[in-house]
Amino acid sequence: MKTTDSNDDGHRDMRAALQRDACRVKDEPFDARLHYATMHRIRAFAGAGQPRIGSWRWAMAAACAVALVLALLAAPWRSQPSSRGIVRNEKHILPVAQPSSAWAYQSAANESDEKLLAMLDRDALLLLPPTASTFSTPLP
Amino acid sequence: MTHAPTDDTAFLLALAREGDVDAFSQVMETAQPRLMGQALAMCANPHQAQDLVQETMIAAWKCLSRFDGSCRLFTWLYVILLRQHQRSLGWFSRRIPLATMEQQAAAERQEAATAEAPDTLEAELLQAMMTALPAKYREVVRLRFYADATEPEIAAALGIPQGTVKSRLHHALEKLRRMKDKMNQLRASAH
Repeated sequence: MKTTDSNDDGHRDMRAALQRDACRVKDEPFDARLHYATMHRIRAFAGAGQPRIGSWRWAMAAACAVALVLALLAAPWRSQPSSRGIVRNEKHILPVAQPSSAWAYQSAANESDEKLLAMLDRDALLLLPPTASTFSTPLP
Repeated sequence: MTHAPTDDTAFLLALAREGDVDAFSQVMETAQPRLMGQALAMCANPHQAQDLVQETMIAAWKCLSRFDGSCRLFTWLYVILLRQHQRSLGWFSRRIPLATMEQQAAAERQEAATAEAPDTLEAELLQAMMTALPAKYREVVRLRFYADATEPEIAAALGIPQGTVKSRLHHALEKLRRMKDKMNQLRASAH
């Protein structure tokens, strides 16, 4: 085998050795069994190559289905308030008693003065700060 | 520079690119004996060589559209063969430490003691040194000397500038020369 380009004198021996080694490599006889086994595999690829676009579609559909399932699984979890949220909500809702309605006052007034005054006291405690002068100053 | 294949091969390649497996089969029938010879020279045993040729043919089919005729078909196939071989070797292909070289040299000394033919020894020595070369250098050496490819052809087949091929070849030969010197020193010290 010839090598004419890039000849460096320092590498002449090495080039010669490589050329000798390359000459020792001979072509092998045609291996029909190997060839047909390989072509069989290639035909399988080629056969699968045609519906390759379809297979991409299938892959995308599968990915979408997985994403949908995950979203469905995640939805209830996300809609549930966290345990902290529940506590916070309880804190907000439970201690805050609603002031009595006009109808409640009317009913209490119809029943007795004590009931009406008790309701007024309760609402005053709810609506006014504990330091309000109303609680320290006696009524005129 | 184009290395246009013969009319028949060009026609078969054109058909193969369009998905004609039979045309590809005909092209590979002519290439297989040479590929197998090269694979046997690289691999430890015939079964590995057969696997290597099979994987090369399959890879060639898969990326046949990339063959543009800028190098000979065999050169292009040989690059695939080399890359497949490198993959099969795994990270060992990147570099073999000198300690391993020394072990190989010791093994060779033992073989030499059993009066082996000098050209077989040289072949084994070269094989060991080629394996010890970094892959990018081994590639150009194999293509230049074993596939008989010219530097412009190697550049086209590897997709690198011709100057890079020249410089890699120079460095590869320099490394091989140093390794050979080292091996000779080891041998001399053994006797």
